[in-house]
Amino acid sequence: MKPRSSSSSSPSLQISQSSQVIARGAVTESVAQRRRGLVRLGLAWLAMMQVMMFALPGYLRHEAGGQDSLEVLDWAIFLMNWASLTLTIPVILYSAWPIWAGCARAWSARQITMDVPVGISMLAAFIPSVMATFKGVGEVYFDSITMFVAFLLTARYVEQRASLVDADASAQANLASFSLPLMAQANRVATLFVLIQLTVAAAIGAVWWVIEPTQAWSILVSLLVMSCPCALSLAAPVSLAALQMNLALGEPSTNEREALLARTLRITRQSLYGALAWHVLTMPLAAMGWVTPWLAALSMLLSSIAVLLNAWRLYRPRQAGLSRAVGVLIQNQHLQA
Amino acid sequence: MEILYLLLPLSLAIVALIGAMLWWAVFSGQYDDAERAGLSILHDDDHTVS
Repeated sequence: MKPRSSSSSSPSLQISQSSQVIARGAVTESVAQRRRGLVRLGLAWLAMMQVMMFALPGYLRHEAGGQDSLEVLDWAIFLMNWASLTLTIPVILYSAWPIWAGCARAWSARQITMDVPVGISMLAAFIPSVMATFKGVGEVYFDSITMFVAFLLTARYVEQRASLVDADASAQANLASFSLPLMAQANRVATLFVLIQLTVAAAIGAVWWVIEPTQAWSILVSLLVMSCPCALSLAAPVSLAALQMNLALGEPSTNEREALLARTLRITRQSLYGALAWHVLTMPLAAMGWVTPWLAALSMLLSSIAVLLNAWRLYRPRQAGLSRAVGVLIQNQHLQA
Repeated sequence: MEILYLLLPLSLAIVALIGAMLWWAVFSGQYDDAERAGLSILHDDDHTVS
């Protein structure tokens, strides 16, 4: 940008200057919250990728050859486990901090929220892993823990961003009669789901403990990871955020608005019951011991992405609205010049 | 395989370094607005007379 005298400064320039002031000086609470969320998310992904590499020797051990190579491998696994533990501790303490805070809130309110199964499964995976690291024998689940936290935070971050858009478009408050029952329905389904999942996980874990104690813990961790209703809790917020966006940008007629509401309702229910069906289908596989904890974490991510993509279908008109807005902006610039 | 004693701490140090860089970048506000820089060309002042 060329230097200019203050008399000819355009409104757009003032906007960009004021935003720089925000970036340098006082940071609003929502911006600070978003930054913290982003750092938590980024660190979790970083640690996850590294821990996955450290976990490789542990998976190789199952198909190792002679006694010599086994000894070397065990020594490598021992070192790798310590490195993984070093990386998992910041993930558990810093990245997963919102989850522990949510667990504390749920405890003081005597409620089951989504954070409860997440917290339980993290502890169920972390404590035995630490014990195995110190003793030098046994399975570790550090890769599963870091994957779980990273994927969960990804879904949460998107949800948080979506609800921020929601807050910006609060002029559309007349949607409350539409959105509140939908959110309540989604919450009811998710809570019921968590309660059933936790009970089933405990029961199946107990059965495996009697039949085959060596596998029981891994299966329990898988089932607990799967009891996280990530996709379920995403379904309503992202659909509603997409709807808000459309209404804010598109200025639809009454008919269009009705059609949009009906579509949102359909897509939300689709996501909600689709995610539920996915859980019900994968549950027996996990109960049979075919789903390892990291696979369960991956399944959670995939179902969340499916829900996001489903809501994305509502966003499409919004894209058209955005390019229209940019077009108007360019025209205005031409007129000013 | 003794090389692991060097490589493992090294990889941890690199992860810590990248983490610290991410921390700095986010908290210095670099990710606050990813769209404004792209749109800034539209806001440019085309006046030729100063």
